[in-house]
Order: sequence, then structure tokens, then C-alpha cells
Amino acid sequence: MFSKSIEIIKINMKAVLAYATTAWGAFFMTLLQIFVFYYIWMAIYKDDSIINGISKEQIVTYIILSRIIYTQLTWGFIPKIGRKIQKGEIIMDLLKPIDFQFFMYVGRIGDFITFASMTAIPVLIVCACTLGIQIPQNPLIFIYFFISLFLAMTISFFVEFWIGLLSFYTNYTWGLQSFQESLVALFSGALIPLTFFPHWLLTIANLLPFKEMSYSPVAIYLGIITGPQIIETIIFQLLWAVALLFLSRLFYTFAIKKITVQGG
Amino acid sequence: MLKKYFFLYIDFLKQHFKTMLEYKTDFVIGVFSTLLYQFYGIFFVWVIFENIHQIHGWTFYQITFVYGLLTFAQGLDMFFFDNLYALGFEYVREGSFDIFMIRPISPLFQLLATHVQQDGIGLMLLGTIVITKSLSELNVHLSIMDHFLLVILIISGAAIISAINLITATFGFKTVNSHVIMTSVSALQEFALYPILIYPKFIRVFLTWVIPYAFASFYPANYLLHKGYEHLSLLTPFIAVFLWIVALKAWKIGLKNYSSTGS
Amino acid sequence: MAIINVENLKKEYKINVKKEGLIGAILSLFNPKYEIKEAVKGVNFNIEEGEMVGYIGANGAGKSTTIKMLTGILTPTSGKVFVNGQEPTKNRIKNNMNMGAVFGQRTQLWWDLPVIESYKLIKEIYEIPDNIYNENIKYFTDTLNLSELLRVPVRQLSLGQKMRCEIAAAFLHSPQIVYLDEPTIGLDFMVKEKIRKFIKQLNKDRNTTIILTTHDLQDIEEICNRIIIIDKGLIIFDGALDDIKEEFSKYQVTNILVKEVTEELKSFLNSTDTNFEVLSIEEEENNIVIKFDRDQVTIAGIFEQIASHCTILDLKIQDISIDTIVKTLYERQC
Repeated sequence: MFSKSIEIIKINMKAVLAYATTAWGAFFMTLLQIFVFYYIWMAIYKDDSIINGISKEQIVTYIILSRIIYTQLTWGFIPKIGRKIQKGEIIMDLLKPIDFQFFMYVGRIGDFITFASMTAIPVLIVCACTLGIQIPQNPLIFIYFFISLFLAMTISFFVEFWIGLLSFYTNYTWGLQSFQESLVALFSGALIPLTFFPHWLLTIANLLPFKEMSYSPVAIYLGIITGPQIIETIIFQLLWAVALLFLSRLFYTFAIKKITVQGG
Repeated sequence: MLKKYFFLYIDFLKQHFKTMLEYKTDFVIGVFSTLLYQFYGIFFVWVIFENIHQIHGWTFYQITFVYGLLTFAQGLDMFFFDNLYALGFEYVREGSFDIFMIRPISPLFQLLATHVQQDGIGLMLLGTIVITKSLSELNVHLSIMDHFLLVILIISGAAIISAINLITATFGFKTVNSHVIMTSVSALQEFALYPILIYPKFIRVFLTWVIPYAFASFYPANYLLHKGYEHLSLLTPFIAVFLWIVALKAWKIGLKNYSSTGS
Repeated sequence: MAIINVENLKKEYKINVKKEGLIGAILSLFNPKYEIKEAVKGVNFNIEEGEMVGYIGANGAGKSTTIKMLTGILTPTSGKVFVNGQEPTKNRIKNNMNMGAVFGQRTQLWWDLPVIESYKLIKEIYEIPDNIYNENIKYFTDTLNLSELLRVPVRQLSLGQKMRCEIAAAFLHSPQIVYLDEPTIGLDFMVKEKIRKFIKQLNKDRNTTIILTTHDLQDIEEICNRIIIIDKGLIIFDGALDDIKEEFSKYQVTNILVKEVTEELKSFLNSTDTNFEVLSIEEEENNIVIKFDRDQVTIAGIFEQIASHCTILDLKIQDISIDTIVKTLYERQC
């Protein structure tokens, strides 16, 4: 099982490596968007050093990390599933001796690792040199951050998978991708730390899984969430992951029945 | 000749609208998702403005006006010119561009007429809502002349965006991945969604004189809101025309190259 | 004056030579190496109006490249090409008014539209007068049985149906010259017949010049009166179909399946005093491919000879392929 996973990850990484131009595109776009928001935030902060409990330095790191994560969250995984469903390739994958959802999940991890090395790290380096990045004092925070990040990606995967399965009902997978992207943009904290949200909006955001995909790990990293709350957040993420696993599994079984009945 | 192209394009459009009506769900999802997605900028500015009241002398509705102008121009460009992205990976790579070349009409025309991107309507819709709301909240009274100018400025804005897209699209003759180049350049429009005063000088200069996206949003906004740069704003249509001349030249060169290097 | 005039036509390509593996790919980005490939090395021919010419050759021989130069898609590296007195790449738009084409797998109809809507767009593009358009639509619909297909979107058509619509589209504006690149590939016999008949009739009625590239010998047999064979960028035969038919019709190819390819069998096959030619010995498949001249030896005669050296399990006879004809002609040149 493990060796199979490694194989799948490797295949996905090779495929992504082949598209060096796409990696460059992602690098450039992410960097660009970071700079746009950097300038907007600097204009917002102007002379103030703290707004809503977040300092100027913190907001810079916040933008950098959130934007990189956002790029990965909106990588276009949904049309990938959508294409498989529409072109009937999914039949081939279902015939493989490995669970389709798990197969997709492992592939997603592979994408993430390639993305991290080919896009995230270069972006981080450029930003660290030009804009400056904060580093947590406590090395333990790093560990919490990576755990939270892993859970964040997992949660994102389940949501993407779920929305991707909706390709049964519509030809327009790109529309579904846009839809997911907008929800992520609005509620994941990709643009603004949730501490800026008006109270009623914050309530809504707390009920959705999107904030767990980006805000939670970044807030842990920056120390916006501290102490016992860190563990609470991670457990909360875990609960979301389990709940979404269950929900997506349910929908998946239902969808598979539909495929096999329709015959692709 | 122009007459022929005009009526031909109308007929293509008629066909596209027929298809849109046939696939109503896809149409609605596409338009709605695009609208929702582009809304993020408005959302962002709105949340920020719960905490502050102006940025570099620009108030909330003034900023959204800039945002709306660009969004609408982007929508116009997306609707009519989206097929440029497909030149490299679809038409050249699969050889279907050759079909364009054996017909007695311009291949560029065919590339554009064959496909319209209905999602652009989502952007135009959002743009219209934002522009109208902003203008009414700002209590700006536009004369008939101003309305006329607004239309010209928006169309010029769309023309600037599409001319730049055409220039980058010509890479499609050389590489399958031209869409990545195109997307990278058009991503710079992000900057132009907000008043460019917030950026350092080199970016302002770049967006004004190198890749003039600022003329699709900031300068027209300045003119209509009487915030300055009035003379510069009137350059907008001329910049649009100039860029289109350059773009068509680039296309011609790209096409000539394609004819001599094909495989 | 010939309608198509080609003089010493040459075309060279620069091919990007990529190296193996990831390191190679990265190196290629920084230091691209090019190789020059000569696709067409100096081709000459004249085609008169109304001729039906088969332009054939193996894959990669330079067929499509020549056609692309004739249709104005590709500019020649050197040499002259004139179609109707015009240079195709210099007067593309004017030249295209008078020309139609079917390019094998690539469709010139619009994917989502019903066929008739595509035809209406073509009418506008080629500025076809109403009376000619209506006349052609009626005639094509009748001859190719298109009436049920006209309202169907192209993407819903089967290959055979699509091809019939495609052919009609190429002739719709009554062009003087029509280029057909693999028009019958993948089609069943009935559809092929229909299409061949259609093309012949149009040539008869309207004196349309037809240039056909195909791997299907039947296509050539039924449609063409002249063949031009190109191999490795040069023309190795240009003449009446009847000449080549006569010459090669006496040749056939047989595939003989034997129980085992023994050394004895091999030495017999390789000896010089056989009255047939061994094209290949496939040891693993136990298959021998033989070309023979029917005037010199019968299949029964071959069978007898081989049977004395091994056990024959099965035998298949087929007509000589274009590839073998080309190979033979080429060998003759040397």
C-alpha cells in the first residue's frame, strides 16, 4: 500500500515536472498577487502599526503564506476529476486495484509536494528577500503549522472531490471550479484575516470548512492563535476532515452506483 | 469587405447565442460562478472599509468604481477574445489552424468568431452593477456627453486588454503553452483593479506606459470622478488604437513565421 | 496553361533536437540544437484543369508538405509554385476562393452546429450566389444522401456521415481545384463507393481538378487518371495510372504461415534461383511475406516449392501495397 502510494506520487510529480512552464506561470502569478495585496495592505496600514490585533509585519507574512496556499487550493483539481467523469476515463481508474478516492488523494499529495518545491519555495525565497517573512520563535510552532497544513490540504481535497463529483450533473466543470474558488477566496481567509470580519460574517465563516483550509494553519504560524487554542484548532480541523471524509464517501458511493448503472 | 466580415460575425454570434440557450444550466453556472468569483475584490474592499475610511484619498465607492470599470472591460474582452488563449494548444497543435488558412477570409477573424466565452457576461454583469451602484452612491451626475464618454472609455479599456492579449497570443504560433504566457501578462490587470496610487512609482509607470492596464480603469475613473489626471485619461482611446496597430502587426509577423516554419 | 505549375519546389524544416531525460530537457531550453530536415527536395510537375491526380507516397515522403505549399499554408524554401497563375502564399485569400479541401481527420465544419448551418456560413464566407448554393445543396443532398443529416450537429455524426458532409462542404462553392487528403480513411465500403462516385461525377460535369492523396489503392483505381509518386522528397513516378496498373497488377503479395522457420527453409528462401521475391521472414511469428509475378509463377507453384521445405499452416494473398510499389520503383531508380 505504501509503495503503491509512493509510485502514484512519483508519477504525478513526473507529470507536473513535464510542465515546467505551468510551474513558472504559477510562480509568477502567485508572486504578482502577493505584491498587489502587499501594496494594498501597506496603504491600508499606512501609519498604523496594528489593526485588529495584527501588526504590519504580521500582515505581510500573512499575505505571503495565504496567497501561496490559495494558489494550491485552487490548482484546478476539480476539472481534473470532471474530465475523468465526462470522458469516461473514470471507468479505467475504477478497475484499478486501488480505491479511486484514495488514488486521487495520493495524487493530490504528489501535486502538493511538486508545487511546494517548484513554486512555493521559490516564491518564499523571493518574498523573504524583498518583503521580509516572520519566523516563529518557538520551533514547536513549525510542527503544529505543518500538521495543520496537512489537515488543511486534506480538507480541501475532500471538498474538491465532492464538488468534482458534481460533474455528473453539468458539463461545465470549469464553472464548478470557479464556484469553489470563490468560496475559498471569500471564506478561507485567503484575502483577509478573519479577525477583520464583521461579527455576523465571522459566524458564517466558522460554520464552513474553508477557514480550516488556510486561515487555521497560517494563524497558528503567526501566533494569532496561541497556547491551548492551537491544539483546539487542530482537533477541530481533524473533526472537519473526518466529517468530510464521511460525507464525500457517501456521495462517492452514490455516484459510483450512478456511473456503473449508466455505463459511463 | 468590412461589410462582409461584419455580417458574417453577426451570423456567428447568432449561432453562439443559440448554443447558449440550448445549454441553459451551463450558461447560468458559468455566468454566476464568474460573477461570484470576481466579487472577491469587492468583498475584500468592503471588509477593509469596515475598519478604515479612505486609502490615499480614495473612498469606498470611488475604489469600487475603478474595480467595476476594469471588471466590465475584462468581461467585454473575455466574451469576444477568449479564443486567443486556445491558439497554441488547440488550433496550432492539432492542425486545425490550417483549416483557417485555406478559407478566403482572415484566420484571425475565424479564430475569434469561432468561439465566444459566455462567462464574460458574468463579468459584464458584475461590472454594470458595481459601476451603477458606485455612481449613484457617489451622487455623481453624468451629462449625456459624460455617458457617451463612459462608453468610449470602457470600450477603449476592453480594446487595450484585448490588444495586449493578441500580442501575447502570437506566441501560440511558437509554443503549445502560449496560454501560460498570456495568463501571466494579463494577471498584471490585478494591479489595475485598485487605484494605482497605492503602488510604488515603478509600478505606476509600468502600468501607465509599458503595459497600460491603468488606462482601462484608473484614468477613466479619474476623469469621470474629477479626481485629476483628466488630460491623461483622454489619451485612453488613442492608446487603444495604437496598441491594436501593434497587435495586428505582431499577428501578421507570427502568421508569416508559421507559414514558413510549420511541420 | 496548366492550372497548377510546380517548378523545383523545395521545403526544409528546422527541427528542434531535444535530449533525453530531465537534464536534457533543461539543457535544451538554454542551448537549443537544430537539425535541418529536407521534406521536399525539388519537385516538378504541371497539372491541367480537369485532371484527377493521385499524389501518393509513404508517410513522411513529403506528400502533405507539397499539398500545404499548393494550398498556401506553407511557404516554400525555394522554387516556384503557381495555382491559377497565382502564388498561393502571396495571394492566399484570392487563391482560396477557388479552392476546396478535405483534410482527413480535421473537420472544416463547426462542431456544435447543425450541418446546414455550417453550409450557410460557408456560403457567406465564399460569397456563393444564391442560385449556385441552392443548386449545389440540392444536388449534393440527393447524391450523398444528406437530407437526414442536415439538421444534426456535426459532433453527433458518425465518421461516415461526417465525411459525406465534409466532401459536400469542400465542393459547395464550386471550386476549380479540390484537394482531398485521405478522404475515405476509416470508412466502410458503401460510403467509400458513394464518395468516389460523387467525385468522379463532379469532375465530369464541372471539370473540377482533383488532387487526391491516399493510401487506399481502390480510391486511386476508381478516381485517378494520373499518378504522381513521391518518395523521400523526390518524385519517382509521374504518369498515367493505366501504365502503373499494368505494370504492377501482375504482382501480388502472399503471407505464408508455416509451422516453423527452419534453417533449411531459410537457406532455400535466400537462394537466388527462386522465381519469387522474399519481402520478409518473420521468424517469431512463423510468417513469410513473398512478392511474386503472376506471369512468372502461380500461387500454386510457390506453395509447391515451399511445401517441400516445411509444413504450411495457412496462406493469405493480397494485392501489392503502395508502399511496396514505391519501394520497388525506388529500387529501380538506383
